[in-house]
Amino acid sequence: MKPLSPNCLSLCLLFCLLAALPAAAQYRFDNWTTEHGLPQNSVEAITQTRDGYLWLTTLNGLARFDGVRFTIFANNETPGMNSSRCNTLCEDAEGALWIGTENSGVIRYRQGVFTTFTTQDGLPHNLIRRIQLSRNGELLISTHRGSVWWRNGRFVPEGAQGQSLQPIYLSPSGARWTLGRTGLHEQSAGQASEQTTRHYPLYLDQRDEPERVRFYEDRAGNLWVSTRTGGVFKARDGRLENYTARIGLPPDTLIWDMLEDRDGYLWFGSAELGLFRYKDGAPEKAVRHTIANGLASDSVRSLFLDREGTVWFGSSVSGLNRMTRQFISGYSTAQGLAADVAHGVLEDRAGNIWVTTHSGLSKIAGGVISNYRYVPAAAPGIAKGLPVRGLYALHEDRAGRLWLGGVDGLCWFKDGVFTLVNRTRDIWAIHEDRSGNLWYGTLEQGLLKLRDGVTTAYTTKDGLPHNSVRAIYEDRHGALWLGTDGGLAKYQDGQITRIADQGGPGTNRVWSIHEDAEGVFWLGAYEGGLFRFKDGRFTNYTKANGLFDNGVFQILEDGRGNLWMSCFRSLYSASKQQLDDYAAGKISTIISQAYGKADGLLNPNCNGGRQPSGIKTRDGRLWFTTLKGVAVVNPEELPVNTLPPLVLIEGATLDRNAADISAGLRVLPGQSNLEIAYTALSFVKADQVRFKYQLVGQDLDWVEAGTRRTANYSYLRPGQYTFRVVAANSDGIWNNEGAQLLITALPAFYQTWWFRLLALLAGAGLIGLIFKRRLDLAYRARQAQEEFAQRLIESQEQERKRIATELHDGLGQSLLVIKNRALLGTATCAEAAAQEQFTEITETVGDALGEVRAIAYNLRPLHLERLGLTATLEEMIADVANASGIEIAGAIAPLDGRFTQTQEINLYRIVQECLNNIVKHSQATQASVIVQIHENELQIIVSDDGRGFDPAAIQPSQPGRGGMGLTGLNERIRILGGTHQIFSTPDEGTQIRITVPLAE
Amino acid sequence: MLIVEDNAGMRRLLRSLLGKLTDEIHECTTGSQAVAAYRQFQPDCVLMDIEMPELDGLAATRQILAEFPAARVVIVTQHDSAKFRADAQRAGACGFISKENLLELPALINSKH
Repeated sequence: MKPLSPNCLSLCLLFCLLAALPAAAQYRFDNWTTEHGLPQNSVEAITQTRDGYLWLTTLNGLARFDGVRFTIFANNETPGMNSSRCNTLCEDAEGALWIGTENSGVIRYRQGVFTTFTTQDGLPHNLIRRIQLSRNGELLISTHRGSVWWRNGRFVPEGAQGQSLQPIYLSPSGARWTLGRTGLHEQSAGQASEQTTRHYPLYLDQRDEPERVRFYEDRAGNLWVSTRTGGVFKARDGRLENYTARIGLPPDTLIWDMLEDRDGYLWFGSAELGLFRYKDGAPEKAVRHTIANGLASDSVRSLFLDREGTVWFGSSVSGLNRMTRQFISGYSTAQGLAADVAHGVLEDRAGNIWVTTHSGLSKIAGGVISNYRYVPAAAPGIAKGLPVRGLYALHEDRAGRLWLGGVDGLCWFKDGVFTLVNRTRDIWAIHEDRSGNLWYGTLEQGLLKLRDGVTTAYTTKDGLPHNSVRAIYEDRHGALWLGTDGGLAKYQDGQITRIADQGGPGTNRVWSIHEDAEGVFWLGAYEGGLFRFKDGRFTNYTKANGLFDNGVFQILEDGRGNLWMSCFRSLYSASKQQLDDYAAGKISTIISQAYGKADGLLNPNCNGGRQPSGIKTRDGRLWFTTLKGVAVVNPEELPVNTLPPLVLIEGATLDRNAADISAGLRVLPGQSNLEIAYTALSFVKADQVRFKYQLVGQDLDWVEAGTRRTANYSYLRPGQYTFRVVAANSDGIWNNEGAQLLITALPAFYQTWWFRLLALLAGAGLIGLIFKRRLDLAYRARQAQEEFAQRLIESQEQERKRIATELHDGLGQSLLVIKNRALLGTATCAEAAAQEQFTEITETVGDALGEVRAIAYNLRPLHLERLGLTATLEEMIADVANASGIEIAGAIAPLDGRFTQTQEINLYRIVQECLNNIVKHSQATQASVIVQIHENELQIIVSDDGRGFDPAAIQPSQPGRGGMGLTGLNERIRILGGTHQIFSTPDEGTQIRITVPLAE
Repeated sequence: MLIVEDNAGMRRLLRSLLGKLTDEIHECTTGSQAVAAYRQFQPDCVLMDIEMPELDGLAATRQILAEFPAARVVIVTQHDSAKFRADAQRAGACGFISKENLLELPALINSKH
């Protein structure tokens, strides 16, 4: 058979050519409307205050945005705000936000307070056009009837001629631009004397409304002006150029706003035609973005560049929009790919990209896609077209042949000609080794080797873990690593050995094998995660330790040290440094970044299990097969947001009621269910901003809050707490400074120190009361005892007195009668014997009489009543002195009549007991008794020169015979209300001093 | 004669000692009875005990002497002390004798006539 010429074959090809195209859109547009919380869908102006919030004006109020939530300020519920028809915005040098309104002047928002200024405060008109901050920090407010400066709390007219109706623009570089019927004027920055004025021949037309003029100064210092009638102009150094045509703007395009982004693109927002992106100096016209490229509407009202470099625009009908530069593009059927379900992708030596799909082969070369479709072929050999239906695997051999394996055969392609090799079914992977053997893995037939037209099969019988071979990799030593649906194996020296080390993939389906420059093997498993194999040791990474997904279909390595992986859910990356650190035990989790539609991925569902289902091309881009064509990642364009997010605590509620946190939070007793709302102001993938918080004083460690923006505490014990919250932006850059809120949980009254003190005092008081009561009881018992003792003494005295009287006056008289009768008998009887008897009777009766008297006297000194106390005491002293032989000196003051009988007997007994003690114990030779009245008291001082004693050592003695002892003495002194002191030293005598108060 | 004495045995003893001196002997047992009896009989001499119920002997003596300054009262008592003697003298008694030995009573009365 005559071989067909390549030219002829090319005719047989079924291919189509499409225009050069950068895959899909390079920008993604996110959109927020009233559905997401905006007060109204016409976003007139956008700005960002220094605290990080984004502020938007709408015709139904002011909105604050943190990337996730809107907070609305409207006149019907915000004190100080007189209108909700807000149009323009400007933050002043002090951080106050000024809001222009359509009908109510300007509103200032400063430290949480809104204040409205109107014509009554000196504004020329209540319709505000523009608010600008000059380079020296002054606020210029342009109204419908001219502009004024806000200076020292007053509005001062701008310009020497009073109110100017011309549009004024204060450029960031300090120039002042005006546009009017006399032309465009530039007044340079600097002192008035040095200022220069340039004139540009641009004139405001009759039809031009001044409020529709827009100015913008780009970073290069060019001024861009747009007018309704003239289009867009660039003014610079006295030169004016009309850029309308160069940008490619249709005539009469109304430009509402202009902006230069971080990449140096100028954006023109039109009222009806969408966004135009233009690179100044580039030959191309502007790229137009409309609803067709994903814009929510073509009506752009305002543009804004935030601190993270994100471009926002407000639409007059579709709310707030965000543009995200995408670093992932793709090729799908929309760009001309043979099919959307892509299985394999490969870059040949010429730099062409080949994509296998279930319905043909696509070649991407220089932005042109050509497709090769299935043409049935009867037998092996040169085919008329692609002879295999449904392609999977690709491989380019050293001869430059492109090998293709698919559902029903193996073929190769070179110079426009397909050659069918055989009809092996379901080929997953193809590889030509360094010896020239062609290896291919299949679904059911194991590993096949083709050499010199001879096919050798290796199956489970030869040691293959599984007959479905998904990946073939030849390492630097020439060994083949085989990924199968039953684990990892290695072919070396004609032997297949299963690699089943501890911690390895085991029986996992190994779909991807990647060896990095250091010789570390990375294995991707269908559902077992990522495996790292180095020095005979495996490390496994799964979702449990931070991997985005357990599916690792294809592993690619970018030029920045990251591994990129595909799975059913997404494309994701992880830093090799982190993976190594984890393997080394330095960290316990890894962070992997996932990318999706926001990044340009047409369909995050990636394909795998066909070799190769992803490649790194020579330009550094990474290609992955997906359900929607191939995704192309340009890691160089991967935006890394190195700006840590600003963290703010927005508010707190207690029992669902808003609490004041302006000066810390005070939690009153009984308040609970604390909810703290915090936020982080990063607008790049704001929904991926992660938080950690800690209530210092309660939480022992940081609480991983994920993307949640509230913290809840059901109850706080009284005390001081600090709530700290930190956040990381979507690229894992933490703001560890964070924000904090001081929380004071006040104790209930029963938890306060003063209450506790009070309770303590009350307790002590109670104990005191009990103690006092016991003392009182003891006192009363003692008093009762004393009263009893007193009554006992009194009754004793009465009884003694009665007995003494009867002895003395009864028995004593009778004895006297007997004695006298006996005396009479002696005198009258002459009989000697009788006389003797009478005499005997007389003597005996005399003795008896003496005894009776002594007993009676001891019982009761009857003299007290008959002689008085003084005489009785004196007599007693004399009697004792006589009886004892002790020389006793007595000095008794006149006492009669001063005391009651009871008191007298007690005083008498006291002195008697003192003398008794001297007689019985002292061995004294001299003593003295002094009874004297001194002022209001009676003093009894009884002294002796006897042997003395130690007063501390004596025990209260029991009343002895003829005495009553010290106890009795004490008792009588107490009854009298007196006190006594005993001064005594051994061998130096004793003195007792008794003091008794006298009644008035 | 009037005997003022609350002890019956003592009254009998006194009566037997006085029997030789007079025929008319009245007896009473208290101070107040003594004053009343004195008004009634106006005896030559009163033998007055000190310790008696109601009015004691010294007080009765002072009352009798207040009404009858010429009355002769001899204090007959078992308390023989200087103070009692002085008290008896101040009350106006003309004599004082201790009951320890009454054998000398007749002589005392006679001496006071």
